[in-house]
Amino acid sequence: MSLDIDDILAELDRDTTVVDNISSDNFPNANNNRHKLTKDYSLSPNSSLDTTTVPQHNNSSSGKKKVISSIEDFSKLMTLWKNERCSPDLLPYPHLLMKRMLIRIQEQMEHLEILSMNFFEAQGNNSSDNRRNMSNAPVNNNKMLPLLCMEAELERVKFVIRSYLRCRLAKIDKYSIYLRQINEQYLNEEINEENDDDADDDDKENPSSLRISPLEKLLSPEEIRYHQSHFSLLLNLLNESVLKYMPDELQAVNDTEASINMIDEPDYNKFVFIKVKGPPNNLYDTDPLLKKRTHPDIYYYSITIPETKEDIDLIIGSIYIVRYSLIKNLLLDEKIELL
Amino acid sequence: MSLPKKLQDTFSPKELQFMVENEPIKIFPRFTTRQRINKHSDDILDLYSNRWKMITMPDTALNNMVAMQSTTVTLWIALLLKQQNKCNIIAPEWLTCKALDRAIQFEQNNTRRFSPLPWDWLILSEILFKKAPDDFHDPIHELRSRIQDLREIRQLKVAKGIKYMNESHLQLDNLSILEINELRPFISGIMDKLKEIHLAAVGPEIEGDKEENDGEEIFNGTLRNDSSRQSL
Repeated sequence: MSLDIDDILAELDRDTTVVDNISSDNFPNANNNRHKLTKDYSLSPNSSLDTTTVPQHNNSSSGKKKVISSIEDFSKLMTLWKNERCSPDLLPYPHLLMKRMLIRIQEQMEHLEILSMNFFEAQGNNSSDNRRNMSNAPVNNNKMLPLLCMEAELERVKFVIRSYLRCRLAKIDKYSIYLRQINEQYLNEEINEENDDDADDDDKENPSSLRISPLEKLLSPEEIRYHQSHFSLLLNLLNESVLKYMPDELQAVNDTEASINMIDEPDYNKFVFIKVKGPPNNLYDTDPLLKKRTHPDIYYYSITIPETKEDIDLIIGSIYIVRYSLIKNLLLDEKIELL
Repeated sequence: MSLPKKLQDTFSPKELQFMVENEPIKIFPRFTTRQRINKHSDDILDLYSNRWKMITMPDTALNNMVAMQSTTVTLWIALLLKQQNKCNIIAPEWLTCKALDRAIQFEQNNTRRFSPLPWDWLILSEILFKKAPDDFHDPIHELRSRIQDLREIRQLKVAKGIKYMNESHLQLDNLSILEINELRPFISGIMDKLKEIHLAAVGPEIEGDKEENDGEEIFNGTLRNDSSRQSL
């Protein structure tokens, strides 16, 4: 069983204290139909999750595996959200990160459920036993506080995820035809390559079905389904309302031959605000793109504007306004972030 | 629309505040959460509901709060505690009359640079003035007027800097998130247009179209001047 994007959104909208009926088993299975991606998921979401929270809570299961803490994940999610909101382009979907995030929310909701049940039970017992508790209101409040904060935190995480997904959906709507074009190009290439493969049979070990299409990298399975249905609806509308009354040669919605390209492409040359972060994990020595100037020591990335051949030095820690196309690769490598 | 039009170009001030609220801040808690080792174990309530288990921030600090011992927590938690009268927020070092005076001095002495205030200074000071006005050592109206001064000086600088806008790039160190956010639609719009004009001017030159070169050179010249690197 796989999850619908609507399901996720509906799930997120739900009150945190309501018992949840999606068993957490569903999440690891959500992408079973996407075996192509298994390579990406080699780090199974469960194994990475066991080690999530601060060690004091689960000393038992953590230990051997590389820990990705929930705190790291959240700050990454915040960055992804900001980047997505600021970039003209659709950025790749963080399959693994999102999966971990959703499982964590699920777990936290269950945890809260147990807590609040215990809490009210205990309170009920106390007040039926004796009325002492009524006079002790402030103490009670103290005990409620962590619960309150944890619920508030959950809402905050959900807000970011919701806003992030909505931003992506807006872009999927906008570049619907363009995204489809990417995929068709890829499929065509694949067919061509398959024909080549027939020529020499040695290449059978590497069947093309194992490769990940650009669309699958870019979108989550739910988003792909959304994109497909949105596209067919849009096409239907255009056909029914206008196109079928037009001459045959004018009916194509993806006409690129005429003077104006009919496919809406992201404006890759749009100016964006960036902050240069430097290589992830501060690996200054191993980044081949990083250049160094001495006196005083300054690390910077150098990019070139193609038309004017003008070099721009992006110094670490500084804020710039530059064209998106020039920094896209740095952005994908997490060396800069958008503001 | 999946994302409202007004949110597609830039962040809303509320969203910026949301980001800022995820930053750490120092507080004096007024209550203790650190658990005593010798506790009555039959109190299940204490064991469960008095523990903090957070997923977006370290919860060790929250579980080890001792009354009147400073600790660092996330801003939104601090605000929540403050609202419940359970902590005092320690104002950051730059948010004192002395430090702000220094910053104003810096802004006045350096016409081409911004003073190195934190990226969230405007929003953070606004939040703290509103939610924790009694936690400052300096009189709050003085702090407020200094923040206002700083903001006006910096706005003036930005306005002056607009003439350096070009089709290539700009460097804007130490500009805070709110300042960037209010500039974003304007600056990126203008720079997009400048780039288009520039391309239209340079384009024919590349193709070697000499006829149009006369009118173009002036155009090109002015643009070239503009594109000399400027850091505000």
